[in-house]
Amino acid sequence: MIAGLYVPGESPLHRLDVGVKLLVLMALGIGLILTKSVLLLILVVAVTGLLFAFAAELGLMRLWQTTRPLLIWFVFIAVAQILVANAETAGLIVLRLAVLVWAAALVTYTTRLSDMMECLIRIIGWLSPLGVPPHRVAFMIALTIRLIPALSDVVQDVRDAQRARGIENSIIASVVPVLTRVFQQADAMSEALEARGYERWDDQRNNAP
Amino acid sequence: MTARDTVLIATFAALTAALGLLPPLPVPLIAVPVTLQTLGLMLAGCLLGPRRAALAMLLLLSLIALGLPLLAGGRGGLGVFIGPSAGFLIAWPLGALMIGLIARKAQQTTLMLFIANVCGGIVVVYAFGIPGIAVVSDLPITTAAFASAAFLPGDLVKAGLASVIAVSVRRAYPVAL
Repeated sequence: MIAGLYVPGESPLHRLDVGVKLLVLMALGIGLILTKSVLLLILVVAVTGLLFAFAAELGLMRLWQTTRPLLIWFVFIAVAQILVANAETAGLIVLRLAVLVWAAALVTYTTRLSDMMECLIRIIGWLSPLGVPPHRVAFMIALTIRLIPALSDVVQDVRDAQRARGIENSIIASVVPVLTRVFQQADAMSEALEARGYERWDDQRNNAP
Repeated sequence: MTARDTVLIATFAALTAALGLLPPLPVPLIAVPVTLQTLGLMLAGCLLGPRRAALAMLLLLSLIALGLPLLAGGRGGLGVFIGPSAGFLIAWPLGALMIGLIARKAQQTTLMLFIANVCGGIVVVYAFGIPGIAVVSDLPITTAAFASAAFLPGDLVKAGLASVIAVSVRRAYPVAL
């Protein structure tokens, strides 16, 4: 199994309802787009950072890990903004981006995968009049989570076989056998599903009132 | 939707995730790391057809949003949909749809699939990605386009690889698009 990004904890942020967290995140996003005050933004950055590192007990290390992939963007945006506008605009945009990414990561880190999934299925439930079946989405999500380690195994197997032949660096020689095996596996799996009445279950759920 | 469609959609979502776990492709002359993840997007389009490919990418994006670290480099969660490169991600389902549509109509030759991969995997993806950078960083669209150009050589290499791979796989394992 692959692990989610959720960090177990007992903080108030962990216990807050997913729906509430997502609504606050959306409100924050809209609010920040409207603000033009750097001072206000610095305040929001500080509050979000403190919530992230201490209130949610995620620590400064994880805050840094969340920020690191964005550093190159911060530099690019800052340099380009100073060239086309001024330093104040540059600061505004970099700070706004940092807060939004921190807040979004905060939601991800403090929410269990199962709670997120329940929330997604509930949202898809609202779309079911449009013909999106929640039970099938849930099934496919579970199937994909199960398949990722299985596929990594296939990739590893094929890479080992190619290394034995001395062609490990050829992407084409690696990916083609991976794909043919993956298709064979998919065929076997769909037969297994059919044999267990998947399509009938699917139809019944679709026609259920 | 048959059981086979369901399995193939989940399989290609998982495969694209697994390709992100592989070490990045070294491309000479440019310093930008080229991950193999968009290879999954192109292969899905060429091998599954428009509908299943788009759904596979949508499924992968849902898993990332739910909090699984499935993007290259172990990134994931809601934050990646807010960052400057969010536009590139959001375009994946549409890109796969476009590749599938062209691949279905065209002859299954390396050249035609290369054209399909360039249209869907590069043109469509950049058409969302570049405005995405421009909006998030509040910069002119030309600056954003200039910043994205660094990724173009790598993406062209991947479009070529995906077409060669797709032709061989289809020969070994034909699937109706």
